[in-house]
Amino acid sequence: MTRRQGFRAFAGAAAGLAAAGCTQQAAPQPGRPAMPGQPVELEFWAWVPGMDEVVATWNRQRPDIQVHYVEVPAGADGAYPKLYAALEAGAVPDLVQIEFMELPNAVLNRGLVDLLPLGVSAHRHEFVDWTYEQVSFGGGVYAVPQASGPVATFYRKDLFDEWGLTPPATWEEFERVAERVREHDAYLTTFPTNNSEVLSALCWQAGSIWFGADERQWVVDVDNPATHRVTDFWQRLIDRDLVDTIPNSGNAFYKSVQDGRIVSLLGAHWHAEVLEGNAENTAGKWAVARMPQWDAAGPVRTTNLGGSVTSVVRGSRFPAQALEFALWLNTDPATVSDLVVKGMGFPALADLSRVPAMDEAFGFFGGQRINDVFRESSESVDNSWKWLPTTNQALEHINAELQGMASGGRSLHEIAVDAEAQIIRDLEKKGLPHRS
Amino acid sequence: MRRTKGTRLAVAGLVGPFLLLFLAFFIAPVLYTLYRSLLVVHRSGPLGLGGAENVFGGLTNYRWALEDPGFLAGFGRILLFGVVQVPVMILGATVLALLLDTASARWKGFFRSAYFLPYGVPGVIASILWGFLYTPGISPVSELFGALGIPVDFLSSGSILWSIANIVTWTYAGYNMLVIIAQLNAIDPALREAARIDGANAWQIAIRIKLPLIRPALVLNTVFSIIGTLQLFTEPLLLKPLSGYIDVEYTPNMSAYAEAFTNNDYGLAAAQSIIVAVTCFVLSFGFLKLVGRRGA
Repeated sequence: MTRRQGFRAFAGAAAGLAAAGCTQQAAPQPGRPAMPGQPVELEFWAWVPGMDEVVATWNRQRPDIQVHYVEVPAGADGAYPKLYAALEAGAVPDLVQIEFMELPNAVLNRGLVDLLPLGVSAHRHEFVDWTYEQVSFGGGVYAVPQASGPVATFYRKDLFDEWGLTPPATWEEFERVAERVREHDAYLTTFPTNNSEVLSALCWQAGSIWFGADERQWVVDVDNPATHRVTDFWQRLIDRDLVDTIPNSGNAFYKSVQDGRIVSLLGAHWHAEVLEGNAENTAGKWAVARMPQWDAAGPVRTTNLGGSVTSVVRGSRFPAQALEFALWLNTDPATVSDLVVKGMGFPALADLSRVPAMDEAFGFFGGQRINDVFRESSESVDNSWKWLPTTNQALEHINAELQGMASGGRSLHEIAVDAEAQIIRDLEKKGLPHRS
Repeated sequence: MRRTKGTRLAVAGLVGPFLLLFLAFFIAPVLYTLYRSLLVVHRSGPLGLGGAENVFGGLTNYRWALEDPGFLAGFGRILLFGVVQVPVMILGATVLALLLDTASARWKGFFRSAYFLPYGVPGVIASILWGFLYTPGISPVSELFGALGIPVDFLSSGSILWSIANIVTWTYAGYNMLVIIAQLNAIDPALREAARIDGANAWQIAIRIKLPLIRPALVLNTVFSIIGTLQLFTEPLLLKPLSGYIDVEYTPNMSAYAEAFTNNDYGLAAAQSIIVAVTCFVLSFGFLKLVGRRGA
């Protein structure tokens, strides 16, 4: 008995509710409206601020395809439980915003439409290469890339100037600057022991590829020398009380940032918006610099934190029109420019020359054209990283281990070994082929 | 009195809606959960993306749940929590109730309402409220302690469990107190009168007369608290973003929630829920049996 049949047998009373989405999706039929003369109506779930205005623009331009925008809470605490519950119940939206790291899970749960038969590959050249790679699995393409999160250093330029410091160019310098900042009763930054996504990004930069996929199976490799290099480094900073260990979001963090008790943040492009929104009183005092390097002489290596895509949901009656909207949303220069200003992150669009917002000077960052820094960062991200269908669990396992590390219990080697074993067990539970 | 057709109809009319709702919203979900807990997923194709089928897996989900160190650690944590928090709260509620019950207590009505008031605050709001009082840099409480030269961190690895216990105690002590007061009010005034005439003071009356007579209320409160402890969910979930020391498996209920809604593993989530429910039954009935035997 399949899950659906089982569900139906027990939900007999609620059959009406489930009927709409229970049937396996028929072959997509491009461009056929609900009824002649009637506009196609699509529902779209996302969390980018200001998305409603962009959708309104589309609705004005395209009376034949009307999009109803529903704002959902971002990520694992909101949008995904809602999506999976909707899939289970069979009452799905047509389009959803999903993060790169959640995408394999959504694909695994048969929640997304393969866009390849709908002709998405004709648009491949419009997107940054690695973002398109991230949305391709097992011979299908499951999303239109929207934005990524190239990482750079946000720092309080005013305080750095006052204290005679410059943003660290290497990790070695980072430690020295952290020492100097401590003399002023402040921390250079925080290492969030509850956010292993940050650790994953730092390891990504150091050349560690935790996750991936070959032709047939998922690949896990957390326990490797590059990971140890990163964890050893941060462990030392934590042990020497050179960095704080509070979460890099939430009230305590923003209070510290507002008070100048935390003076820099290794953050993604979208953090610019977050900082501006949560530390208004520090406007004009910030600047952005390239993130510290392990190898000062070699080519620049940066990393990525977050980023999301627009996917068409399995069960949508109008996948072709939904794709059309998703492509417009993420390739129309004026639209992308609008969304960048509103804080969606760094566009996945390959040709940024026609996106006006990318050249903007930011008042919050003392008039700096910060996107120049992020553009370099975006081009210096290693392309081979992929996520797992069990990414959430994997990151949570590492979180649990990190908490042990921060409170001084575990050695780093144990952390990596333990986490890897747990991640492999997750894949086994899901019945997924894997190797480590 | 003989039952007529009319009374039978009346009984059906009064009990029927309850039974119907009970079946639909209690029995049916429980049965469905039991059923789901026996299913595991089989996948095919490259990367396992070829398709999925739910097949009968026997007790596999239960084995997985019981092999998961995080899930078991959650139980351990809850047990520690319950062993400390429940007695503290019941003791606190009893003391408050007895104080309000003494003849010399003034403004009884006001204090009774004041103690009960936190129960009216939804758990979510209470957690956010206390979250602010716990957050370093924002909390006036931390600041006060800091100014006195005592650095405190309510959200650190060692204290977070007790910070949660504090929220739970704050919320439910007044409620428990009210149950006890209800029972105190039911004590025959003649008993107190007799004790007083015999020369017993307020303390002796409280210990010798009142305490034994409010035993049923204490037992009831304790059973409710045991069940409540095993269901601990809202407080840690809301404090999670504030503290680095609460993970998704912090309590068994949070584990089940994460399996169902972020990992989409409904079978495992169902098995974990059943394990929590069975533990609830065993512990609450175990406690009842224990106090029943001692009473006999």
